[in-house]
Amino acid sequence: MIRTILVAFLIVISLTTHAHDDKKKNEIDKQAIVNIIAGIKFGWENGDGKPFRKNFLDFEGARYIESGGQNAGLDSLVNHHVEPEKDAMEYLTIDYENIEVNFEEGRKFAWVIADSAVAGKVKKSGYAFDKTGYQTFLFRKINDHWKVVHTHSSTRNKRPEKSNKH
Amino acid sequence: MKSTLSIIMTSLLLVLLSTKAFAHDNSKNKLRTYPEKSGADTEAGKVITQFHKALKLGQKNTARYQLADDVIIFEGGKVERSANDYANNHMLADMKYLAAIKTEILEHSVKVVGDIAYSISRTKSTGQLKGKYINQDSMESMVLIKKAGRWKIKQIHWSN
Repeated sequence: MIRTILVAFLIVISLTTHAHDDKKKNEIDKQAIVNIIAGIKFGWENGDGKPFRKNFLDFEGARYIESGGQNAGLDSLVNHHVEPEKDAMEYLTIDYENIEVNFEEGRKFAWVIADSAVAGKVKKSGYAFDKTGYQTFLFRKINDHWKVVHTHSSTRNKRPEKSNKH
Repeated sequence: MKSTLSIIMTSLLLVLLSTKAFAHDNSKNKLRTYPEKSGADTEAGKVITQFHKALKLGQKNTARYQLADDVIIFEGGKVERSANDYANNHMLADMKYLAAIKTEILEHSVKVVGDIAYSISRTKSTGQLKGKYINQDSMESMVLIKKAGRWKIKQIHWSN
């Protein structure tokens, strides 16, 4: 009887520990992904290609979509988009909120969605924009490091707030 | 007089039938053609092709079946968080839109990683809808998950 209770106790402890470890690993991976997204935000806002070079998987067929257009490959994204915008924009801010990280394949793949907001002003034309929308990031874990394999952003002009009429 | 009326009625009927037959054939002819080696012929890819075909042909149940119950869909600045939500709202508008236009696939790629697949495609839509001429590029990202031996679409992001 005592032996049975002991075995049952050990099983419960083992399962609890395993679940706790799993939760802890999830949190670590989630934080790693959130940090990469923070790096992407920094890169866009400062025209810095380094966070992209470091965290994006460079492969044939890589596509990064932004409302109405796409960048084919990491070089195209960084050289023709991220870095030139530093000089072209008077200011550019990007925010990601309500980031949802979904792990699949034993945490070897993650699809991440977020609300996004982007505002900026083009130096040359003076065109200013203020948009909100949604963001998708796809990640693969390669050699223990999370790598962005795809991004898709779609934003629209903010709707004017209705004035309160009393 | 009676025979003239009969000829007119028969002619009208023939025109009506031929128009309907043409419209039917036309919608089938406008189904998407997927590039070779795009991955559209994989198990996961076939779910995507069936989904688009069902939307094009107005087959609500077939389209709904390809979606996970808790699918998340970003479309037109809005989000839908279940297959029922989409089926009862945007799906019908999407079907009407797709039935009226021609969709050409410019790029399509499906990558399968175990029981996960992701698809990225770029299409060109042309045609007329409600008197408005349409000529635009559209983007689509999808995540699919295989559960109990069946691939389902888990997330869609559409933009143009």
